[in-house]
Amino acid sequence: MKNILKNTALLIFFSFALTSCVDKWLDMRPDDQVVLEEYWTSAADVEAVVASCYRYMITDDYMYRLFYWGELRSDNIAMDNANTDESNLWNVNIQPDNGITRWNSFYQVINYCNTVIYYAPGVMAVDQNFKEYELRTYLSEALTIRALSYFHLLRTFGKVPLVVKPSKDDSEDFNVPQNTEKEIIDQIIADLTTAEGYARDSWATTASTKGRVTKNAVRALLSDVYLWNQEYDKCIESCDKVLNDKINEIILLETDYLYSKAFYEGNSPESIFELNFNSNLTKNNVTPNLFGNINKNISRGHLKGSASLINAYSLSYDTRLKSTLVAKYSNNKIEMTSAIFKYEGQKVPADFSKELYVFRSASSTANWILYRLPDIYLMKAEALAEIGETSNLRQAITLVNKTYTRANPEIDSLKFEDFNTAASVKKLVLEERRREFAFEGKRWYDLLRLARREGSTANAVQYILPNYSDATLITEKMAQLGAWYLPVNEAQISINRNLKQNDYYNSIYGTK
Amino acid sequence: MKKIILIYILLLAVLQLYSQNEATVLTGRITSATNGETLMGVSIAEMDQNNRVVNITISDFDGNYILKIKNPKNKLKISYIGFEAQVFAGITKKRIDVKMNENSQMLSEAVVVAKRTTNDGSFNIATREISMAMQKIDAKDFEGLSVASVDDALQGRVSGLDIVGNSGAPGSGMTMRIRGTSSITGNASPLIVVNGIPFDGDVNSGFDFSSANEEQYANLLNVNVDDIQEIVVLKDAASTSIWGSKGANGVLMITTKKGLKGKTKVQYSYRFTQAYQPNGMKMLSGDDYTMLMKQEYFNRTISDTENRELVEEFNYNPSFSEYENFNNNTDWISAVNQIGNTHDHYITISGGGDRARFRISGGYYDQTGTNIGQELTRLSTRSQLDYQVSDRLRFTSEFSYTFTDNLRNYDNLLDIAYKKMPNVGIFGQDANGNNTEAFYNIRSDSRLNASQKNLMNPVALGTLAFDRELGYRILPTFRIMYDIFNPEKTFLRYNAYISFDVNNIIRNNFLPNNVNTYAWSNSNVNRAEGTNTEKLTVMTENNITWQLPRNDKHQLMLYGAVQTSSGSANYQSFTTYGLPDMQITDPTALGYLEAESSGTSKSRSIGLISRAHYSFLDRYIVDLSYRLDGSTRFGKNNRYGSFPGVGAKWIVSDETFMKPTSNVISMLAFRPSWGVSGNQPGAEYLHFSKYVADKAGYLGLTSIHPDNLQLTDLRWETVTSTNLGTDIELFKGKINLVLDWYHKRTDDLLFSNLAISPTSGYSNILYKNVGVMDNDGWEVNVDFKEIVKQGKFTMDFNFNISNYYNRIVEMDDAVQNQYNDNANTIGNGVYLTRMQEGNSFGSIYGFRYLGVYQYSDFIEGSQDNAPVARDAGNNVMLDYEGNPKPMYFKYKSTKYAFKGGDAIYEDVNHDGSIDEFDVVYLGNSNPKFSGGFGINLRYAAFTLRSLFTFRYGSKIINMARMNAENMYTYNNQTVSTNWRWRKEGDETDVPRAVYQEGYNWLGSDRYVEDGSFMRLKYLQLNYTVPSKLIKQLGLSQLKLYSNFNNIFCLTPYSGVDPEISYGRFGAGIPGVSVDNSRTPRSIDWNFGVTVGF
Repeated sequence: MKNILKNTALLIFFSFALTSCVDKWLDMRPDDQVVLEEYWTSAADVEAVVASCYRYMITDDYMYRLFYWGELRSDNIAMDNANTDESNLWNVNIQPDNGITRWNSFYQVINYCNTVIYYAPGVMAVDQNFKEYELRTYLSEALTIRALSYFHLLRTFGKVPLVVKPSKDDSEDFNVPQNTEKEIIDQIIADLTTAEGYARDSWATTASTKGRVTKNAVRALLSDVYLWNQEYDKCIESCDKVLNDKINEIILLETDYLYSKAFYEGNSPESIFELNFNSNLTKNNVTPNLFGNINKNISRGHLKGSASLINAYSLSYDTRLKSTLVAKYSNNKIEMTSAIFKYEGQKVPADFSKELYVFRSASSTANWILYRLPDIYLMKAEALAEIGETSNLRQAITLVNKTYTRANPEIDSLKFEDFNTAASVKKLVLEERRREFAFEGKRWYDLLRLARREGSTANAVQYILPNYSDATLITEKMAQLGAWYLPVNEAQISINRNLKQNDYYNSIYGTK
Repeated sequence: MKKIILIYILLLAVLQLYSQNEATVLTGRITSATNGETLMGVSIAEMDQNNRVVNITISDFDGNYILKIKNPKNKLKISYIGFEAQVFAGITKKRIDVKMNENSQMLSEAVVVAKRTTNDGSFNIATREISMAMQKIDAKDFEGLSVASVDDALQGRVSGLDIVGNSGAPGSGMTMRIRGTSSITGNASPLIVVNGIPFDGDVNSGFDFSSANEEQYANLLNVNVDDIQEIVVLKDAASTSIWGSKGANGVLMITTKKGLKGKTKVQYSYRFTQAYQPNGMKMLSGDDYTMLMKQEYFNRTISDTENRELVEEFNYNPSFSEYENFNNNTDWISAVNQIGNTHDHYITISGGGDRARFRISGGYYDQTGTNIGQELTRLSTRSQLDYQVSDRLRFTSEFSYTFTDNLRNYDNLLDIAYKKMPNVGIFGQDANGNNTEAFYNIRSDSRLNASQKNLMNPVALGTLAFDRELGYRILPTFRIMYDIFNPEKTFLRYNAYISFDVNNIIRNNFLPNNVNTYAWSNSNVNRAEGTNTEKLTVMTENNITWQLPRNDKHQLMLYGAVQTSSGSANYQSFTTYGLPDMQITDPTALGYLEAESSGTSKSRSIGLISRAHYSFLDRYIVDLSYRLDGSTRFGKNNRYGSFPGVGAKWIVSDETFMKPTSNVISMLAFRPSWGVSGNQPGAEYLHFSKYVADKAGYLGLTSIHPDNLQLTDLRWETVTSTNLGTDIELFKGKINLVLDWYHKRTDDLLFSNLAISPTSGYSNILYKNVGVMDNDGWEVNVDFKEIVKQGKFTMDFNFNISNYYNRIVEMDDAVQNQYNDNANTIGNGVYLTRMQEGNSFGSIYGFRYLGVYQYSDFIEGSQDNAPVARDAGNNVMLDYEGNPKPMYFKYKSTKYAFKGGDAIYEDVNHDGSIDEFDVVYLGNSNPKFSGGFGINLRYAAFTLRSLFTFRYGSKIINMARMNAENMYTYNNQTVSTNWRWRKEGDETDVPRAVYQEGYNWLGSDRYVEDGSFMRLKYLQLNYTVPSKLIKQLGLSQLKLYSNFNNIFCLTPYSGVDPEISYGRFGAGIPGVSVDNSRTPRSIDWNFGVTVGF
């Protein structure tokens, strides 16, 4: 009996000892990952998540949409080897199940930005070496990338949910409704204003100065936002800050170097902000797929240049044409093809026994340019033209001439006398923007800005009509401004019932 | 040999002599009581009070022995194989002579006295006292069958255990469901326990059940059927709750054979099987096919304007450069089929004495499949050694090793064979139409549609490409059993084991360049993929059992245990293409590296188990169990899951008032039980927000991002089941009847990868508890033993049937929003995936097919069967001009007016359009009944056994037929398409042929078929050669078997085989059986022999 008691006591003792260990034993953490509880302890932790904000902008999903949303439906584009989603969008046959309307990649980037903005300030308390100015720099990057993402969402969908807190766990309600355009634009402007104060002027390397957020990058984006929001004075003011920055001067490239330096090499002196692709693991798959690149086993791109785009240039004089679309030489004459040259082409010295271009090699990577100096000129010109008054219009023509004369060295610059009304200057700026930024993901937003400003699609729709055989149908389809935005993806509505479909699409397809 | 033994014995004797000086020396002589002969080699042991051997010797060739005695109070035990052991308490004499009795009769008597016991996982309790729903299958029931894994042997034998073969390909495993599906995205297969140790199937803990194919865990292949002694199937939660978080889907407990005391026995068996593939759909010949294709083109525009000349391959034009290669009539199905042969060798050696017992077995199994290029080789060995140190201390060591080499087809050959155009040849042909030696692949510049052009030559694929999986699995186990006190007085037994499970899988597949005509840079040329997975699991258990000292009235057993398991796994995977030569098949060779990945994972769990078994007067029995499971897969708040179980049994027949009927009702018992078991998510670290580093950063910066949403309140999926059972035994065991009724409710259903609003920055949430699901059912099992007995002739009959009804009771809105939205794609070949409350999981939704429109234009009276909209009263709807409104297919922007020869679908809401609102429930894949029955006949040494299995009421989507009847693509079609609608007025139920146009094969009930079947699973004839004859041959045993398997199958199903496993998330339609022309179960016969030495 004594033995039994002793043994039982021992058993109980051991089981107690065991239970205290058990909890520890079951608290297992991953070997190859860090958990939130152990993260956010050093400056390096902050920097790595900031890097992710950029890293997920250069994913295919994000990159494709930068182009699709900004240009696919415009008059610059014709279908080549397009997929169903692309041709449906281009054909103005837009269903809410079109994959292009999925905004996942944008909100993924936004969530990473939110994460930085939420957690980074706390690191100062943990890491003594993490300085205030470093924090500010990182915040400026996160705020700018977030603003950039929202700016694209805003221009594509009109109203979108505005999420500014990181998503942490499953207890939160993610079924958030859309915010108004004003709420979104206010947030964007507020973020960018803060970021402008926080951002660095430049980085140690050229690649970083062009590839990461700088004060000028923030200003360029802010100018674009003001222009969209029809705050022309502020737009001009912001553009001037870039133009007057003499320390980190942005310099316009010379005619001959534009395509080899800006698009082939990347990070050129005229660039303000561009997404850098520079390793095998972060290849740019988007431009070769969309525009075609024989060296990457893609004989035909999804898209090609439209006939009206070719006509927008002067074949004999405008050097941009032969560098935007593939030019072929036959019978001692240059003939334009509709294949896209920008980003994927490399110009070779004019040797008339050969074609004028080669494609990038299979391993090369093209940077995607968000803003470069001509954009500042032309945004300012647009703002000036909108304000009107002769002096402003004159100034606008001068700005347009910066890119125009560079592209047409053999002819005279544009004269104010030929464009002496506000309307004609506006039209000129729009055309010059088209020629300068074709295939850079901007044309659709330019046209939409026009329609919004005029409160009518009547003029804007005229630009896209040459692309379609049935003008009446397209005019009818695009009559409402709502049709110029994209519908909210139906799968996203079926998950999040608080989302409302864009009114225009709602009227066509009905409520689900 | 004899000399060596002699010397050995002498040596021992000398040693004993040498050391005899100090202590008491005992001598004696051993003789046989039967004939007085002296016995050599008898063991004479001095043992202490705990029967631990202190000293031992053996008798010499004259039967003499000498033993040095340490303590005269000790016992002396004299034992010899085949003789009854004798024990002398206290060694007071100096000489003990012993006469030994042969013990053959004694043994059989002992069996009668002992109660039959069954081990239910922790207790060894009398079978009659079991209060839980479980069924035991003895290995004898499947002796002589040639099956690769035990699930095949179990099929149709256990009520409530629904087993469906995944495919007839070797080693593809079976899908098992005990009492219906109780989990949606989790693993729904039962837990397999081998000798008390969970036999974990998943190769790595990151293994995603939701996307896995059932074939990927044909886990039971690692247990050789011949090694199995018995299988116990635990069905209700009262019995499975002791397995806690792993027991939600039921438990299959396998006990392997052990060594028995006695002379060393050697047994060898060999079985040879020949398998034939049953005939499937009859396909068109080359000539019929090209005719059909031309018509498919013609019907697009009802003219030849769409130039059919475009496709030269259909035109038999001798000027076409590939003419000879496209003028054939190839039977692709026969070309990929073959007769499969299986050789199954198995040898076992077992034996042992009082102290030590052993059993060693080895098996070699080699099976070629019924499709070319399939071969499964398995080498397995298992050894078990029991060593009893004393009556109170015993060690056991088990070791099993299995090597499997499963050579599979790179792709589903049969599927390709059904699709491949029959006018193309297997081999390239020269200008005279003679076959060359090279396989023919359609040229890449052919104008054929890519779906046909890129369809690889299945014969080439089966011959040259492969998908090989090598598995090495080693399971060493060490056990100890110790009685803390003398078990006769105070029964307190300690048991412990530690078990290692080393599971390595090497998978390598290869696609050589000569099965297609792609350019060298294409990723399908000389493509190799390789994955190495290593997993180590360590499991331990420490338990204590206490038993109330024997008492006539009360019997009480208590049990407590701690189980732990910890596992780690890692994998590496490479995919390369463009390897320099088709002889080089390893992905690490120089080529283009397409993908490369690796990963590692760990998991741990702990279980605390307590159980009590109490019986009063042997007829009132109560079982209680409680398990607390801790798992690393949950956060602090839900880390422990508790799983209680209660079972009771009232043996009514033991009551005095039942005495008068005891001649008829020898046993009558009621068993109510209730219990909870559970399921945990299939992934680790869910309750953490993980920060993951990307392979590539940005501008030289390392990129790290939060990878998932932290799951703060993930709970265990729990299954609560109530079981009411009755056991009836009539006429002293002649008839055994077991009835069970159950209600099983799964709460907090786990759902993986549930889509969430992407504005969160994530596209899905890894796991969520989403709902409630019910399974209600009943089971009947009847056994008639020797129902007919006439001289040497006896007949047994057994029958089981079970039914269950599965119902989704509650489903989270998030899941319903995602799956039930009408926005789901509707189109040709698509069935909706829905999760609808009130319906079964595995429900099928689609249109109702009503035949074919006879005419294009409606003319009242003469051409009524034309595509016009009709109202609920079947009146034709007219537009404002008085013309009949045409019937449309409308989906999103698609609007198609039906024409003559098109399929008629029921316009359920009579709105003149076939759209998402006409989709209706078409049944579900769960069977209404399933079960089996068998008749065993014995006459002297002959036994004829049969087993029939059946399922009734399960619905199958016959996708294979859909693909072979749609006349929409370039795929070859069945001969039934010859009955197609060809011209206005044709009356038929097969629509017209139109290439890539129309909606003639929407997901409808046209392809939903009744999968009921009754099949003769096997017919087996055994002959045991009489012992007289055997002795003359110098053998101890000789048995001959012959089996005929699957020789007939009664089924309304039009496909080859109605046994189709359920689809899973990510693979097919969840819970629905979809027939994709996998290799059907073969028809086979076999012959086997077992020899004992």
